[in-house]
Amino acid sequence: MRISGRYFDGRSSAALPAELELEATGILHLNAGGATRTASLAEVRVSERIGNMQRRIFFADGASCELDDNDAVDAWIAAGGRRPRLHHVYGLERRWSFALASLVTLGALSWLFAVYGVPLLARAVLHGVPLSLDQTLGRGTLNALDDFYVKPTKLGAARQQELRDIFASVVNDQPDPQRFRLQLRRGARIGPNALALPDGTIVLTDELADLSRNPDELRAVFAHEVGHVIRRHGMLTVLQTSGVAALMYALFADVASTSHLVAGAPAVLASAKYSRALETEADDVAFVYLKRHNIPSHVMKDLLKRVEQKLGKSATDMGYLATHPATSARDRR
Amino acid sequence: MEPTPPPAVPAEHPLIFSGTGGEYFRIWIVNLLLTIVTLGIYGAWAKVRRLRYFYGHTTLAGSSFEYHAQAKQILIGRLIALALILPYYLLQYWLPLWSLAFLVLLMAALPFIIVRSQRFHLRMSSWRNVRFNYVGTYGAAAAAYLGWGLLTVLSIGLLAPYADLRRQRLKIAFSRFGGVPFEYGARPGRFYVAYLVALGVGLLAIVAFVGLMGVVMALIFAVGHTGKPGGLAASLQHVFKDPGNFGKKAGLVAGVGLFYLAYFVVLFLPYAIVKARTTNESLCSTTLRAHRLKSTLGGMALWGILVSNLLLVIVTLGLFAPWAHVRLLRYQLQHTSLLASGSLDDFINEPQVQTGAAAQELSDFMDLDFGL
Repeated sequence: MRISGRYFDGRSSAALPAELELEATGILHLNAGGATRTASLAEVRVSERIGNMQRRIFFADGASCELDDNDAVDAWIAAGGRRPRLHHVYGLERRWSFALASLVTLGALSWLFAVYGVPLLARAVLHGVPLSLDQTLGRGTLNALDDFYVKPTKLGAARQQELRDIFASVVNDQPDPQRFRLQLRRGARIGPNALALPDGTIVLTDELADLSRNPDELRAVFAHEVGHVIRRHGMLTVLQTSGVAALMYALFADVASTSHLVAGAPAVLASAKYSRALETEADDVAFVYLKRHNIPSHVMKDLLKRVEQKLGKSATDMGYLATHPATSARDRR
Repeated sequence: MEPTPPPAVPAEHPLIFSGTGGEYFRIWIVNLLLTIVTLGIYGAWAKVRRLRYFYGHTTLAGSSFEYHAQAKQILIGRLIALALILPYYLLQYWLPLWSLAFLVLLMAALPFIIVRSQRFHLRMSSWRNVRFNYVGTYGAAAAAYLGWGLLTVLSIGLLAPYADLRRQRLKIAFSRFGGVPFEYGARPGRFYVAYLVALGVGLLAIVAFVGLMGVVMALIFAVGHTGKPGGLAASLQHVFKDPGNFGKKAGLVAGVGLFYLAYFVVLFLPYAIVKARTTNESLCSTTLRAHRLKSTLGGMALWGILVSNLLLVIVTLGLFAPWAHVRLLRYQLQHTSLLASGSLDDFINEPQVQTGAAAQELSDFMDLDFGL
């Protein structure tokens, strides 16, 4: 078949109008301004097809020819018993059905990656992160809490000592009890609450202490927070949010730079799921502790119910509890 | 043979961009999928396909541009870049102080990276089978980026327009086509005018923006007073005290989001003005032999494209990105042309020396934009 194009001799930028005769045997005859040359498919390189751009035939001596008919070029290569370079990729890019299938697959992969891949990766990395970093992470957090969220405790000295004794009885169960410190604060904006910082600091608010009716309920709370510390949930969260984002960027910097939103959306949506998984894990640590000390496991539920009543709402709607398994879900365990 | 005198009126050859958003979307999505499935390895092929798509669909005087880099080169370059940049990320986590030392080292290497990256980029580009080249030196890049950067800081920004000119000059003045150097002659005065206009328009836009926000706030308070006591202040408190009230919370989030959006829309304006005016001055003052370049970008038009692109990308969760890319590129390319005085046939290929892709990949990692 005959196609037209422009021939360049490999030296100058002069474009010579060219006629090409492509034979089914894989031989091409080129005629450009009276000059002719013949080459076989094996002797030339044909640029791969992308969209409908001008294809080029590169000759071994540096000459090249711009071609105007992409389909004819593909047919010629196929007739010569070869496959155009990266033609299968062009096959994918050509059809809208594949584009839509890619989109759906991409969505599913992102979701799977966010829900299963990210926690898995973060846990793998966690083993390599030295414990000293958890300490650094915790120090800053307590200062931030004091500055913006909590106030000094208003509990009496006797009650404070009582709480410290309960706390000691829980952490003394751990192989490394001096790691844990109890900090008493008035919750103010965060209300009845308990928090675990990565360095082993556990913050208990006056409001939560007041809501408890017996030491066992507080033991359950402390055991739960100890669970967060020993499983390094603070560092894990940092890794899950920032570290994995950096990894994704490093991997997909090229294609993902314009599609952060697509790639990042599932991770954002999954973040509540991550913290729910962490709460469940901390609960497991607490349940083991309660069982070992023959404390009935409903004490935690009792306290949570009172927190809900106090707040006058379902606790699952509360900001800080939104990430905790719903009370009813905990009941089933 | 008598040399033919150049015609009095140069022939104008516009850059014609024939890519479409739909076509590029399909390439983009397949690139994305294959890159993820191959854990990033296909990214090198994806980059080559993307650049070849844009080059191949850009036509000047009947011939399209070609990008020649092989994906394998890019992949090797990426691996080298990763090996260099990974220690920095690791140090950042474990030994923040040492990462600072690494940063200083990186600053010293920056001019080298810029020059090598530009060289790779241009040597891999051709038009009419004749290659581009870049001959910028470490010293020139260090002066443009580090030297003039430092002077900008010392002059509390007064030298910023001129530093911008030096950076644009670095890109163009050391470029060659078929061994022929591009001559750069932008006038600093035009750069200062561009920045002053942008400053003026930017300040006006900010005043208008703040005024508009004030009116909106006042309206909300007024409605709050007549509707229910306390106005916005009370309803904000209400939202914080009662986070269960999801509808209000979502409304507040949407409000804050809109505020940020408006903020960016305003910020884009001076950026678009500077970009359009300085690009016009840079390109219009560039010559290649007797041929000249011409650029007629409009600040407002550019702003309109940037803003509508941003909105559409957000609304479509990023899926509009390929169309956004094509729209912006088409506008820029179609407002650029070559004013040819005489023949374009007599550029001669210079013997090529191979160059590594590592520097360009390194600069891509660090998100430095001085490419096409």
